[in-house]
Amino acid sequence: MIATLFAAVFVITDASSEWRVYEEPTGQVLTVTGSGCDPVFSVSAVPGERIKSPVLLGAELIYLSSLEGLISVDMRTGDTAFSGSQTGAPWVSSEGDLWYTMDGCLYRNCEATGIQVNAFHVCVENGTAVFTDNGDNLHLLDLDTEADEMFTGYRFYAPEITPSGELFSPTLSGEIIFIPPGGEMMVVANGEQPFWSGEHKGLFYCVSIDDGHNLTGADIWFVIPGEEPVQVTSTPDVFETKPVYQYGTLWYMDSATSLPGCVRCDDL
Amino acid sequence: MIFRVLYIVLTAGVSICIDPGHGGSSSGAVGEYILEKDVVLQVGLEIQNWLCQVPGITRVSLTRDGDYDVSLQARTGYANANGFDRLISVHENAFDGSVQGTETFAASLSPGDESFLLAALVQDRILDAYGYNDRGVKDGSYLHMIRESSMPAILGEGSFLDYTLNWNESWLYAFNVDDHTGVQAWGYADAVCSHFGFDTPEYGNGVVLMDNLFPGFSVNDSLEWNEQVSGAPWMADCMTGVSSSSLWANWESVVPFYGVRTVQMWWTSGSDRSMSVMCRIHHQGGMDDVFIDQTSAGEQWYTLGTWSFSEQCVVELLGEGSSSGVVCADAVRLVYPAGTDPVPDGTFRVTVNPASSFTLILPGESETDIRIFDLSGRVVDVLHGSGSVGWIPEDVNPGVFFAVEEETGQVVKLMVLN
Repeated sequence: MIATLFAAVFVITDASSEWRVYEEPTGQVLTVTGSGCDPVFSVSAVPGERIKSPVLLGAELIYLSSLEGLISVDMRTGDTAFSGSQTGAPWVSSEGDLWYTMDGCLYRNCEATGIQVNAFHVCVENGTAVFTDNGDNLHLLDLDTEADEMFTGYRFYAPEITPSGELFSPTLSGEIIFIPPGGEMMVVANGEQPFWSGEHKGLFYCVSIDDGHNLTGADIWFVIPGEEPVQVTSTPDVFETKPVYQYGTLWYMDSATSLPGCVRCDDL
Repeated sequence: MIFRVLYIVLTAGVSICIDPGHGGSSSGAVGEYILEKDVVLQVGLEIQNWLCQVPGITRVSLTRDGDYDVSLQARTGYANANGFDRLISVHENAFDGSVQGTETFAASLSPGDESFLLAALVQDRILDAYGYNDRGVKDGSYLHMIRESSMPAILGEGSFLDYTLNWNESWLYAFNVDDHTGVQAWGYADAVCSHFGFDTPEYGNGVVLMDNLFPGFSVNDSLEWNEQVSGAPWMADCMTGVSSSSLWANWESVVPFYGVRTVQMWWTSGSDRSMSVMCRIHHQGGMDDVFIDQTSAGEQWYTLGTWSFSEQCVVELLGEGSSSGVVCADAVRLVYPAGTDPVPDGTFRVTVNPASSFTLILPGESETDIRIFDLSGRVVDVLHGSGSVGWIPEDVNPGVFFAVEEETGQVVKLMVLN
C-alpha cells in the first residue's frame, strides 16, 4: 500500500522491523518508510530517528519514538497529538483497541486505565498481557475483558506468556515459576532468563554462580514443566547466558569476559 | 488531552532501585563484629526510608530485603525489567585490615554521563559522612551490577569493614556508633536528591516511613486486597480490600528507632471507604486500639496518637465483619510529637561531670546493664542500674569510649581526656 496523502514517498528495503524517518529533498516534509509494501506516511519526526511499532488507528498513525515516547499523528493534518516518556508495547487488540504502557501505567485508546504496570509483555496471538506491579506481584490480564488474575508469593520480574497461554517468570529469589493455561502455579527450576521453546514445550534457562561482584560460571539448562531439569551446556570456560532457541539452534551470550558478551550458537 | 497530561504529571516520578550487595550464603566482607551483607542491607533499608520521604520519588525498591541469596543476573534482570531510573548498588570494602577509605564505581567515567555524575555526588557525600581517605570515583566497567544494568548505575564502597588499625570499623557498624550506618544511608539519599534537584529530608528528622511496598508490610491474603494507583507521593500505590473480620494489613518498621513518636496514617479518598476501621498500635508499653473513619480525612496524614517505642513499631489495620465498605492500607509514618525536643525521652543520653565522670541517663525505668567499649571493641567496664548510672573512667587511657545500653542497644559516645 502506498499512501496518497503526500506528494513524495520513499520506499526502502529494510530488514529491520523498525522504520526510519527520512528528510525530503526540500527539507520541509519528513517521511516514514518501511520495507516492501509497508505503508509510508509523512509525519512530524526527527530525520534519522528509528520508529518502532507503528500502528494505524483510523486516521491516526501511532508509533513508538526512540526519542519522545509514544507519538500520535493525525494523518489528515499532520499534527502531533501527544507524546510521553517511557512508552512501550503499543498493540491493537482484536477489538480495535490500542493498548500501550506509559510512565508505568497501562493505557487503552489514549486513556489511562489506572493499572500500574512494570515489565509489560503482550501476547498478540491470544490477546493477553502479563506484567508485574510495584509490589512485584504477577498479573495476567485479558485485554478484551480486562479480567485481571494476580499471582503472589514471589518477587516476580520479566514475566512472559506464550501464544498457547503458558505463563512463566523468573523471581528475585531464583525460582522460575510456570503457570500452564488454567492451571496452578509451580516452581519448575532455579535459574534466570527463561526462554520458552514451543517446539519442546519446555524452558531453556541460565544457571549462574557469582562472587557477589561478577559471574564465576554459567550454563544453560532445559526443563519440561513437571519433569527433572537437564543440563544443556557444561563449559567452565564459557559463561552461557540469555538463551534463545530457534529452529534447532541454541543461541546464547558468552559472559565470561568483562567485555560485552558475544553471541554463540550450538546446533542441538 | 489536559487530563491525560495531568495524569502523567501526577503519576510520573523518579524510581530508584537499591541493591544491597551479597546476602544469604554470600557474606561479602567479613568484619570482627558484623558482615558486609548485614551492613549493606541496613544501609539499603535506611536509604529507602529517606528517599520515600521525597515527593518527587515515587518508587524505591530493594533487590534484596532480607538475608537470602539473590544472583547478580536476577538483580540486574529485575532492575532492567522494571525500568528504574537509577540503580545504586551498596557495598562495603575489605583488604588486610590496614586500609580505610571510600570509593565509588561507575561504568563510565565521562563527566557528562549520568552514572558518573551520580557517582561523584555519592563519593562526595560519603566522604562528608566519614572523612575517610578519598579513593576516588573509579571505572567499574568490570563489575556486573553497573555493566549489565540498562539505566545509569553506581556501586558504592562506603568503608573498609575489616579495618582495625586505629579503630574497629565493624564495631562502629555493629553498634551503630554515632549512627554510623545511618549517615552513610543519608549520604546516598542526599546524593540522589541533589542529582535530581530534589530537597533532601533533614538529617535526624526522626521520620520513620512504613509503606505498603516496603519490606515489613503484609496482608492476610493478597487475593482479598487490590493494588491501586494512589496518586500520593508515598510510593504512588496503595492496597484496598472489602472490610471483613478476616481482613488485616500489618506494617512493621524495619529501621530501628527509640523514644516517643506520633503515629500517623495515610489513606486515599474514595466514596466506598469504610466508616469503621480498627488500628492496633504495638508500642513499648503494650498495644492500643484506635478506630478511624476512612470516609473522610483521606489524602493527608491522620494522627492516631503518640506512644513510646523501643526499636520497632507495629501497626495493624483490622477490618470488621459488622462494617461495610472498602479499607485502604497505604502508609504509616512516625514523627516527633509536635513541639517536642528532637531528643525526646526514651533516648539514652550522657552528661559530663567536670570532675571526670559521666552520668548515663537511661531510657527506661527498669534496671539494665551498660557496657563500656573502647575503640577496638573491647569491653572495659560493665555498669548496672536504673534511672541514671555514673561511670568514673579508671584504669583506662585517654580516648574515645562507647557506652551501650543493653535493653535497647542504644549507644552514646564518651571522650576521656587527660
